[in-house]
Amino acid sequence: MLAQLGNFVLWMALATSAYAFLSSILSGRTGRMDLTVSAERAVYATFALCLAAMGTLEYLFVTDSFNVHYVATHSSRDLSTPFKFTAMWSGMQGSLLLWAAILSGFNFFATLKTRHLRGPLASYATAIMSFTQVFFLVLIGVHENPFIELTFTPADGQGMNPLLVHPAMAIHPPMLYLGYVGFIVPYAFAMGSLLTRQANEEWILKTRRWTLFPWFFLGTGQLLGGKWAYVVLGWGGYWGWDPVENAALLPWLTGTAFLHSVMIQEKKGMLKVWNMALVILTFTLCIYGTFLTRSGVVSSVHAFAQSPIGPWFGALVVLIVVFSGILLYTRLGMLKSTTHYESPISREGGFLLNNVLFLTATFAVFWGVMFPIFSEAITGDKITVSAPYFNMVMVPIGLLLLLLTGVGPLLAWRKTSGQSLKRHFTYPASLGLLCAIVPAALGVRDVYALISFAFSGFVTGTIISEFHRGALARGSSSGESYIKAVINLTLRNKRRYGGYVVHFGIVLLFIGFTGNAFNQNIETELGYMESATIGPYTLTYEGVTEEVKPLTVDLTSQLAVYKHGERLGTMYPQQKVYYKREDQQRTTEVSIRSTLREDLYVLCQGFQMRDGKEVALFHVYVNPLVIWVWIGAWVITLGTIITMIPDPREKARHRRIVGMPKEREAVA
Amino acid sequence: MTSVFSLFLMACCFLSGVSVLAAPVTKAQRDEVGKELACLCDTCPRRPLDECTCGYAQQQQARIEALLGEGKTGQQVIDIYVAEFGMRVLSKPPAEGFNLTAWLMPPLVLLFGFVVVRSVLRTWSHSKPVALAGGPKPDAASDPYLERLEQELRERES
Repeated sequence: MLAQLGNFVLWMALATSAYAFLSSILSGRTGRMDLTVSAERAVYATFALCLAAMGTLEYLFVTDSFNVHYVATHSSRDLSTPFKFTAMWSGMQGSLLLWAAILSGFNFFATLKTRHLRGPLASYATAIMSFTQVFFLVLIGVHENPFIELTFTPADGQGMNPLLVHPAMAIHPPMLYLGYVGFIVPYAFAMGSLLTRQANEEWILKTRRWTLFPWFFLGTGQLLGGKWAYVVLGWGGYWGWDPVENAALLPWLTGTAFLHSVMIQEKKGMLKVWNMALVILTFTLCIYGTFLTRSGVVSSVHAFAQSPIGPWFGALVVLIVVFSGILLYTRLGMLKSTTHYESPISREGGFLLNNVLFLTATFAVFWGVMFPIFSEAITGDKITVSAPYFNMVMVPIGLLLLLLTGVGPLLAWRKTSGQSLKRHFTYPASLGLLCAIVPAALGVRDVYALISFAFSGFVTGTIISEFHRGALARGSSSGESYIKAVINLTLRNKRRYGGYVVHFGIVLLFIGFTGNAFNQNIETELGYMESATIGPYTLTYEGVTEEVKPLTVDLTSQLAVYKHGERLGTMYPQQKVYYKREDQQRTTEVSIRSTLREDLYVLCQGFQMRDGKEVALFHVYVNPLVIWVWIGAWVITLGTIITMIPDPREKARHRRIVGMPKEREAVA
Repeated sequence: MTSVFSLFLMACCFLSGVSVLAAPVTKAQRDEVGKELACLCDTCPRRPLDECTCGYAQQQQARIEALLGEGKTGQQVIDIYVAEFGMRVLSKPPAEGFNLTAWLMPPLVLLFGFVVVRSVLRTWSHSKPVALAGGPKPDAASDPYLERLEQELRERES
């Protein structure tokens, strides 16, 4: 009964979104306010209906309604309630419904927030978002309906993939989807701007936060996925250059380029065509990423989400490219730059270089992902393109981008004099040099690592210098204390100084990445009270305990950790045997001892007999600096929050730039 | 006498297929070969064999160790794998034939990007500003507060 209700609600959502699409197109063409309002209400209804459909499916999961095929194949009675809840998006049908619900949410909030700016641009934007909504709901309704019932009710479900029973994996997909889906808002407003022939920066100003939001979630979602891989998959790393990881990275790279280059358009009225192209590319890559995940065209660790719907997404990618490409081409004439530039040594030049590097990085990742397909088509040979290729190609590009993160903010708009360059670069460059000399003196010989430390130091120097100069200037004019001046400086220009905080987070990420150059690992078999040594650590095996739990038998090894003879503590790597499953699947729970300097990471790979005695097999890693990746993620979060705090003065500036027609203000 | 005995022992071992000359294979030697080969278990993202910890990878690591133990060189082990599984067993595309484009395209795109930026900058520097209704006036987006701040910075540093 409930499944039928869920199905009904799903089709109702399709009907309201189709109505929202048609009525918003008509209101865009005719300017009829009644149609605009009607379309808005249909958007609100779609959001409510999608939430209701998702809520129904969640209820079916939580109440173990195994008469529903999707619930029976993705949950089981012994799963704890929080994981029954997250099991909803652990398979194709539920994850698509989550996509659709998030999309309806973006459409709802974007429509709600821009109500006071009703007009053709907003109407067309609503139409584009509603069309995408229709696409997803048709796909779910016709191909991947999660409410299909079985003809019988199994006593228990098949359960969720044990690898997904982890808190990071519970929130990783929703966060990624917030990123993937969210880029539709800037894309829709950009297309609305082209359709209505509005050459100004209105669409950019309306969607700045709508761009930052998905950018942040796409990035954080990937880092959460990395955290899950690090803790659950047990191979000692957090990023494997899997095609689906790469698919999420692609729109993040172009989205980052877009976030930077819109600043030139906002400030100087330049790069209008380029920004349009970037936002089109970013949204196209979001759908392309979904295509890669769902189609199975490339071999991936995310194969559990594959189904025959790949061609649908392929068709949507083609549709977006053709529609947006033609629209952009026909509007080229109105997208002329309004100001001109003076020197390549300027902020504008820096941003252009930034865009070239981000686009090259995007291409390199795309090329690596697709190359096995191209190679097989041309040479007939299947080829593997995996981590060694991506590391070799992407590390130099990444380092150049890191350098530019420091150089860009020091360049002035229009032109930067040699004297200014010298003045602003001296201290940061000295700090950068010091950050390379010290590790080199301590014996580090990895060239990339030394360059990375140098650039990290340089960028940190520029960020400190920017805050310091600003605080001194503010302090001298207002008489505020230094700390108060730094805080007020940041709060008075959240976008600029929040951006610097994000840059510092990126530096920390790079420091964490650089640690990979110094990873060590050993494999060892240890009998009772036997020891193994790695780096400065000695580990002594103190036995194993067995605990039978509702879902698993947990085999917990106990390892004493010593450093320079001093006992630091005990580590407990686990093997979990899912004894109720037919395949007796085993998962490993790594034990990690994290410090700011390095992670000691221990994996128990199993047990075997040696000379009549049981020994445990361990894989032990020392991974330097990993923790800085997670700290960097928090710093990026802080910086993004700062940049997104609403600023009344920003609104006033926007009004100055785009103007606000009286009739719109009347509506508001 | 001792050397004659040693030679006799070596001859016996050679005839019985046991090598006493080969030193035990170290993990570093095994990883040196493993990093060139991909794990083909199809559940991990073709991770290099030296990094992968899945059951299939462990079997292959043991096999590499055994092959090296038989006295084969790293390249010979790689060749054995390529003969058995095809080119897809290599962890990265070989830099030859069409596969060379895998390596060449990213730097070429970067170079192309630089050329485009250079030509765009030249065009911009020679073009006159276009006045379009609705476009931002130069620096219109800047915050008056920031302008003041920049002015103060310039004064402090001049």
